[in-house]
Parts: sequence; C-alpha cells; structure tokens
Amino acid sequence: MNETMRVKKMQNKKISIVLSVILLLSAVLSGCEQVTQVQQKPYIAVVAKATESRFWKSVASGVSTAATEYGVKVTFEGARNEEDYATQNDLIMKAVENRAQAIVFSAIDANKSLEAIQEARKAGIHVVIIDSGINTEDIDLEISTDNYAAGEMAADAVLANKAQELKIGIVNFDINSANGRQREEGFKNKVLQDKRAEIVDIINVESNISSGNKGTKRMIEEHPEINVIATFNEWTSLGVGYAVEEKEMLEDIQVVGFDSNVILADMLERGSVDALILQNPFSIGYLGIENAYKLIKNNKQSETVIFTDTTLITRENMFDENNQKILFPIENE
Amino acid sequence: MGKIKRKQKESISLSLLLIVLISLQAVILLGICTVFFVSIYSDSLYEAVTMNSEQAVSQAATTIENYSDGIKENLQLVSNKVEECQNWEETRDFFEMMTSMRSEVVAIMLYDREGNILSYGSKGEVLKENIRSNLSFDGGLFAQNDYCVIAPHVQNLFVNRYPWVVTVAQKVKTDLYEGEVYLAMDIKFSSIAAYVDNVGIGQQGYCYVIDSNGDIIYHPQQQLIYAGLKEEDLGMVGSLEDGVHKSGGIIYSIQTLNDGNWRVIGVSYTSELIQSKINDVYRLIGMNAVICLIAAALIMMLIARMVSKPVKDLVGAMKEFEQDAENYRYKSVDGIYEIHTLSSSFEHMVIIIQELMEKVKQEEITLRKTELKALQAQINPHFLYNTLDSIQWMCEQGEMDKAVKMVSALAKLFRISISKGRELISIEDELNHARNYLIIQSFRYKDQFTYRFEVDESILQYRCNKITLQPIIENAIYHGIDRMVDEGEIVISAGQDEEDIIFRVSDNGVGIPEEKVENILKHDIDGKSGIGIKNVNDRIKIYFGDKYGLHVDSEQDEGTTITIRLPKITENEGKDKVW
Repeated sequence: MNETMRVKKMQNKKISIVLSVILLLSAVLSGCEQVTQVQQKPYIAVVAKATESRFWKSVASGVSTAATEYGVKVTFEGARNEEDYATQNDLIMKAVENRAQAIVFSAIDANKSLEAIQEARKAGIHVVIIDSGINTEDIDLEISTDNYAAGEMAADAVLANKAQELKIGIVNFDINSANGRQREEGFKNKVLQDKRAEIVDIINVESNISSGNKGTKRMIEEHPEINVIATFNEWTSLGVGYAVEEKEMLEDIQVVGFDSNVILADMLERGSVDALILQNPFSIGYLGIENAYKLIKNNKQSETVIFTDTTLITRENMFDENNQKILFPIENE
Repeated sequence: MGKIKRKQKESISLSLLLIVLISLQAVILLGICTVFFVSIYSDSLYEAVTMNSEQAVSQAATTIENYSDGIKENLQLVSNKVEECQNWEETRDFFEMMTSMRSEVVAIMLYDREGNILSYGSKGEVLKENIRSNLSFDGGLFAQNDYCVIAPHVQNLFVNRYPWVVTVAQKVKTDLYEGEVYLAMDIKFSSIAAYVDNVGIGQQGYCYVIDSNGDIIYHPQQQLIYAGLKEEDLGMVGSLEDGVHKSGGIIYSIQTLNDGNWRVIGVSYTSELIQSKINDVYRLIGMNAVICLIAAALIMMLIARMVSKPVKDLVGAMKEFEQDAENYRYKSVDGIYEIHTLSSSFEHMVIIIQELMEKVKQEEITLRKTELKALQAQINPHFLYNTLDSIQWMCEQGEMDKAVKMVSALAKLFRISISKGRELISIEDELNHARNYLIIQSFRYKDQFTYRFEVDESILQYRCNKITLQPIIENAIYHGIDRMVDEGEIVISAGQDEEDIIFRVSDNGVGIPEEKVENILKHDIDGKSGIGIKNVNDRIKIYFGDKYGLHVDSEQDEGTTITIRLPKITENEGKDKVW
C-alpha cells in the first residue's frame, strides 16, 4: 500500500515536471519561430541574358517591384554579352552554392546551360525560365513573350506595306537562342503566306549594335533589291536602324524591329525604323519573381507557360495615350 | 459489493470533475474577454487607421497643392520677365538659364496660336527639326484659359529625349509678336511623382492621383497597372465623394485638390493593418488560454494528490476493513485538515470496532465455558442411581470386597470430577478417572466387555481437559458393546506424536452408521453421564483452537475408534493461563 502510494506520487511529480518542461519549450519555440521568420527571407537568383539593355532594365524593374511586394531577397545578374553562356552557367552554380530557393533564368544558349540547370534541379531549386527557354522539360515554368506570335505580329507589320514586291532580309541574333529562332520562324511562316513576299537573305549577328550594323550594311550591299528588313531584339534593331541611316535608305527600306529605347523611339519618329514589336519586360520580370515565390511557398505550379502581352507600335500610333506609357516607361529617377 | 463497484465506474471522479469545471470556466471567461477586447481593440485600430490614412492623403494633397502653387508662381515670374524682354535672344537666354537652374523644369516654350515655337530653352537640348504632333501644346485649352495644365504626357520636342512631363501654360503679353502668345513650362513629372511615392500608409498602403474624369494621373504602381498585372477600381473610386470610405477590406481616403481637377486617393488595407494586429492579439490570448489550461491541470493534479487520492485511499481502506475486520491494521495519513481528520477518525473507529469485536468474542467464550462447567458439574442421576443400586445389591449379597471397590471407585470418580473446579488436570488423573469409571461399569456389565490401557508413561505429567475420556468410553459401551452378543473389548491408548498428545478409544462393537458419524460431533447426543461427545469436542476447541479436538473412525460391525488430539501443556503452562 505504502509502496504503491509512493510510486504514484513519484509518477505525479514526473508528470508535472514533464508538463512544465513542455510549457517552457513551447514558449521558447514560439519565440524562435518568430525570429526565424524574420531571418529567412526566401532567396531568388535571377540570371539574365544581359543587364544593360532597356529591355533588361525593365525586367529588373519588374523583378524589384515584385521582390518588394513579396518580401523576397533577389539578386539580378547577367552575362557580359549576349553570347556569354559560360558566365551564365557560373552564375547558376553560384546560386546553387548560395542556396537559392529558386532561379529565374533566361538562357543565352538553349543547349549549353542544360547541365547547370540539371545541377540546380538536383539541389531542389525551382527553375523559372523567362524570356528565352532551354531544351529541357525539367523546369517549373516558362514566362515569356509568345515568341512565335510576336514573329507573326512583325510579319503583319511587314504585310501592311503596300509595295508590289517584298524583298525581305532577316537580321537575327545568336542562332542558338531559342526566342530569336521562334520569332524568326513565326515571322517567316506568316510573311511567306503572302505571294509578294520573298526572303532574300537571313544573317545571324552577335547581339550588339556594331555587329548588327556591319552585318546589315553588308547584306544591303549584297542585295540592293531588299526593301524590308526584320530584326528580333533591341541591339540588332539599333544596328539595323543605324545601318539604314548610314546608307540613307530611310524611305527605301521598311524596318521592323523588336523592343524599344529612347534612340529607337527617335528612329521610329524619324523613319529609320518603321515598326517595333514591344514586349512587356516589366511583366516578365514581375511575373518571374511572383511565380518563383509561389513555387517556393506552395511547391506547386498549375501552369507551365505564361505568355505576356506584345504590342505593335508604328510611327502613327506611337504617341497614343496608351502607347506613350508602353513606349516610354516612367522612370523614378 | 458488486453494486458499489458498478456505481463507481459510472460516476465521474472528483478530480476530473474539478478539472473540467475549472477549465471550462477559464475558457469561457477568456472567450468573453477576448470578444470584448478584440471588438474594442479593432474599433480603435480602425479609427487609428482611418485617421492615419486621412492624414497621409491630406499631407500628399497639401504637398501637391504647394508644389503646383509654386509652379504657378514661377510661371507668373517667367511671364513677367518675358514681358520685359526686348528680343527673342533675350528670352532664349533667360529660358536656358531658368531650366539649368531648376532641375524639375524640363523646358520653357513660347508658342503662337498655331503652336509654332517662337522661343524655347531646355538645358541646352537640341530641338527636333521635324516635330510631329507636339504633345505639350493644346491650342484649344490654351486659348480658353488664363492658366491651364496638360495632364502628364511624353514630351517629344528634343532629339533623343522623351521625358514624362506636366505642361503648365498661360497667356503672356509681349511686344515681340503681334498675335496671342502662350508661355508653357514642361515640369518633370517624376518630381511630382516622388511626393506621391513617398506617401505610404501602412506597409502596403499607398496614394495615387486621378483627374476629374477618373483617369489615373499618377500611380506608384503604374507599371503594374499598364502591364495589366494590377487593377484599380477607378469607376467606383471616381464616383465617391471626398472623405473616408470603406469597401471590402480596403479603406479609401479621398481629397480633391484646390484647383478642383485632381484628386488624391489614399488606399490602405484593413486586412493588413488591423487583421494582423488582431491576429497577434488572438495568438497572445490563445497562448494565455493554453497556459491557463496547463496551470489548471497542474492545480488539479495537486488537488487530486491532496484531496481525491487520500479520499480514494480511504475508500479502499474501508473496503479492505469490510472484508477482514479482525486482522485489519490502519495508520492515519497526513494531508489537508479534512482528510487528516477523516483519516484519524477512521483509524480510531477501526480500533474501537476491533476492541468491541474482541470483547464480544471473549464474552461469548466465557459464557460457553460457564455453560460447559455447569454441565460438568452434573452427574447423570441415572448413572448414580444405577451405581448405588449395584452397591446396595452387593452389600445384600455380602460381597463386601466388591462393594468397597465400587464405592472407592465412585468416590475417586467424583473427586477427579470436581478437582477443585479446575478445567485442566494431569493426564494421569484423567486416566484414573477413566479407570474408575470402567471399574464401575465393568461391575454393571459383567462379562460383557474387557478393557485395556496402553499408556505412554512419559506423557502423564502433561495436562488435559478433565472428563475427556469418560464420555467417549460411555459412548463405546452404550452404542458399541451393549448391543453385542459376544464379549467386547475397549482399548484406551494414550500416546504422543512430535507435537501433540493423542488419546485413542477403540471398541470392536457394532460401529456407528456412516450417516451418524458426521452428526455425532455436531449435535448433542446426551450421554447417560451428562456430557456428550460434542461437548468434549467443543471444549477442546474452545480451549486450544480448531486444530485440536475429536476425530471419529467407524466401520459397521468392525468397531469404532475415536481419536482425541490435544496440545502438550505442562503444569506450569496450565497454571499461567487463567482457564
């Protein structure tokens, strides 16, 4: 009797000790939880094609807006030039080392970054592709312009030309870049439906102004009959614009380009360039971060592709109230 | 017992009941407090948020008003200066100087009625040769108003420059041109925007500006809106009057600027500002509730240990007492006053009850002994009569020797029977008593039986109850030998085993029927001498316990053996105890 009573008393004591320990622990843990919540901002690494062009600056603006809104830590880095896939791969590996929870990536070369991305996937990192894709299904999401449709839109601008014959030259950038090829394809397929259209020459240049400029001039010299030039990004558009100005063929050649900046707007106003396909880089950047954040939070993604808007801007409509806002983003200096 | 146990299973234990009641009370109390507190808290929070939002908007509006007043003054200043200018070069120099000095002024222009540029200045920028659709000129608007503002737009007057500007314009008098002249100043829009951007309401709240048509002039998240990633319900906001409005978790604070054109809208999210704080409160209260419940549980455990456990123990103790009252031992337990009192009362009660039981038992034994002694004292009158009759007959026949023997035997029989009133006598005396009885009986039952003693001499000094053997021998004679045709034999043996004294009385008579053997020790079958076999057995058991007493073995037509077992008691032991 006494023995059992003593045992029971000891049990009671044990229970009360255990309970008070649990109480203390829960208090401490709830405190810790709040601290860790503050410390652990999700980290998303953005690996861009470049950082200097107007297009990529707008992407960066969208990225930072979304980063502020969702409270994530973001790094925005790009290659030295738009052929430098090696630097991109280094940046991806750096993001893996720094334990990024998501990588938002725009591939310079659709094939050369496969291994790096695979590495990142193995480390359990979410991969969101923006602007330009890579040749693998093993990504979470792709956010970009519908490049094929954008190419078709450029073709529509060309077909609005009333000329009897459309002798078309194409100045595209790196042949390995997925978005450039898709745009070119969409353009060719659409424009060739018209019997007036004939593609005289296709050249691939480096994605910078001088290479585009030189290539275009050579093409014009080799094929003087060309009266339409289509080109598919900001730098090549500038290169083509300058080439047409240097050759003084503003009236003779219709130029359809991509993206915009202040100089391209000026060229459009003066006639060196006749139409621009404007993507929505701000949206691409913003959605890239927004969706990467959702992936980190929910670990699920219903869509696999999100297309952002494109707008065709011509000399006639460039100062329309809505187009002003698209062509000349307000910068908060 | 069964019934009591079932009842206990159905009923709730005291400690559990207390835990449930106190916990329930704590939870209900906390709940009521929470509801009251949260409603008061959220009301005051809502008030604070509303006021905060109103103040922010009013501040933004005042800033913009001051800013636009400043611009208006500047414009007037420039206008006055233009009137003084003697030629176009002077105005150009003045405009260039003004624009370089004031960073927010992008350009100062002089237009004629058709929008042709008469003079301009813009930090040294180069005017385009070919200006298509000047967005900073609105002939109709300029003509109708003394002072007017063109909503934010892109300025497209200078080479490679497309800044967002707000144009303010007024008519100006000058001797340099005959027709109407408009002075227009393009103000960098981002400088106004910065004021709006800097107005934050809470973490996610913000301000934006719309014009009288409800179109957005400036929005901090303009790019999101243009990109179609965010929408502002402009129709609804446009229809609201100045003041504070609440709509679906959002508080809109609206103020129209003095010039009556632009409106500043403050947007703040109640969910963010109020709900998160209320959630904090809920979390805090929730934690308190958990702590209270745990505290209640601990208190209950304490109470259980101090009250209900001792009570339970007491209940158990009472049950145990109920089952075995005689040998139960209880020690009172310490604890709170009530329990201690209860427990020591019970201890007291146990002792008293046990004393009472012992007393009753002793009294019963004493009563029995008295009864038995009374019986011992009696000598069956038949036996006495028959014996005296035999003696008389012997005397008449002149058999004096026999008569003397008979009388002597009778006298010894009586002396031992009386033996100073003691119950225990020596075995020797008891055997003599049996012998004298047999002497008397063998005269009466002449030639009907013989008898024999087998005695272990070493036990003669031990004690035994008096008149133990005689009733058994009597039984052997009357029920065994008397009915026999042949001569019977009775053997009386007195021996010992390791622990006890054993008497054995055997006859070779007719035996006792089996059904009677069992009854013989249970019912009084009066012997002729007055003391029955049962009496002997009872006495031995009362004196020495259940271990001792009689055992009957009998076989029909073979004889009966009655064994008597007694403890070895020496004379001293017999004296020590008060029998």
